[in-house]
Amino acid sequence: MPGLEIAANPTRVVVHPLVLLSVVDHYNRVAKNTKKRIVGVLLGQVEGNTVNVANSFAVPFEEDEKNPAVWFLDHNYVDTMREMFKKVNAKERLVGWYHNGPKLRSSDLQINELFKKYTPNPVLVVIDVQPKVIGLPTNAYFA
Amino acid sequence: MDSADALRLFELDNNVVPLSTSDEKVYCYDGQLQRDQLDKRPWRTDPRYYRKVEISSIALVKMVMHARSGGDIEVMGLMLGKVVGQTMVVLDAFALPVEGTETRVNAHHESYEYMVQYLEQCQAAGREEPVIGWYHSHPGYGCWLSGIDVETQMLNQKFQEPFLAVVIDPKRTMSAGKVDLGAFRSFPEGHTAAKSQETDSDGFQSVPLNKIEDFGVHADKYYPLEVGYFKSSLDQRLMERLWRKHWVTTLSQSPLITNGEFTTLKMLELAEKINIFSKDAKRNVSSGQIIRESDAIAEEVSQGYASNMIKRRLFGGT
Repeated sequence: MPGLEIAANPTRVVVHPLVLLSVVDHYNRVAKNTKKRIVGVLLGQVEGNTVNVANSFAVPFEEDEKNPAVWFLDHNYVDTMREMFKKVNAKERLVGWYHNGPKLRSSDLQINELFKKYTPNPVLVVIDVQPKVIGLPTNAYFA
Repeated sequence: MDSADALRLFELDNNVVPLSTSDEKVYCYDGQLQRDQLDKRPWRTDPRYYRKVEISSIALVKMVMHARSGGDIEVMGLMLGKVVGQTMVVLDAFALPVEGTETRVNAHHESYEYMVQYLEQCQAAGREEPVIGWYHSHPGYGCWLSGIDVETQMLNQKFQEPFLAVVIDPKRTMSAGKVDLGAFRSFPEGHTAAKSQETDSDGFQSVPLNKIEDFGVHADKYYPLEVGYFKSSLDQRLMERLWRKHWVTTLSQSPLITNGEFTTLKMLELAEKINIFSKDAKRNVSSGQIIRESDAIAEEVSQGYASNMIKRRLFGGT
């Protein structure tokens, strides 16, 4: 498919405010007073050197606090939601995923492998919902 | 003015209220509490039972962006939320894959499947609120319910109460700088609206000529609700950061350029109305309306000029 084969990793990730609001809303609903992590999918487009993230949705995600190798993410959910969002806006493709960190974890690499089924080079954006420093609370990573 | 003041001014203009921590439980959905409130069916005894609607920041952003992305075409979607006493609370919104050119009845059949699937997914991801209403856009012609909209809403209110109709005008939003949104509920059939004390003095909006009859005929079949917006403390922090980063772009934009085409259209409309008024005083265009409309256009354009001048003085240097 044209546009999905990229030789090198893109160097810039642009995140729309709607995505940040959605993540905060997701966090508020599900994990506010817990230590749980929230995970979701990012939709958008890759334009040359830049990944443009315009929309997102949350996915049901569970992991074992004590054993970072044990985690569960619903594939069917991701598939169904992707189809539905395609109907509303065909240009928004799955470009990566997010979680609220605030730091990277060992299971992130494995979760990234899972997302490689949908896009060859998924971007991970860590969005800190309780930021303590000035500046935008996002960090993006490529595997 | 620095960014904090600008943000406060914006919030004042648009009536955005940050929630205190105790209020943040509005984000949690208590199924039992909802069912208790709905079991009593208060809307049957009082058609104006719901007076106010509170919209969360994320629902607002999603709806406005969807409306804007439609350009000149009407778009529609659904809203999720719950009721708290006499207020309806909208917590989220999502778009439906439907275009405004189809007749509404058919569109619903196609999007029912989408809707059911989406709701199931939401439940799985932790969003348990049910559908509380629908929204659609009227690009360029104001926030009110057309004949078909009123019929759809009356049907909805018969079978899916509590239900709310929201209309957004993305073009006027861009031009006025303030979100142009209206929330309505229809009266049940046969209910004659008492000539309400709330005359159109603060709800004034000009309606284009080709739609003015549709507007007039159905205007007394529904009533507007008071709209408020809210955001959580986390939303607040996020917006502060975004504002800090992007105030330069907001400042450097000129509404004259962004809305040039739309302003021209409005002036053409106004000219037509003046023509009709001067030739045939029997048509439903009053001099009062024309004056108010021309005032509104003049105000917007002069605001654009004034802010341009100020910016040049402050930053231009010559």
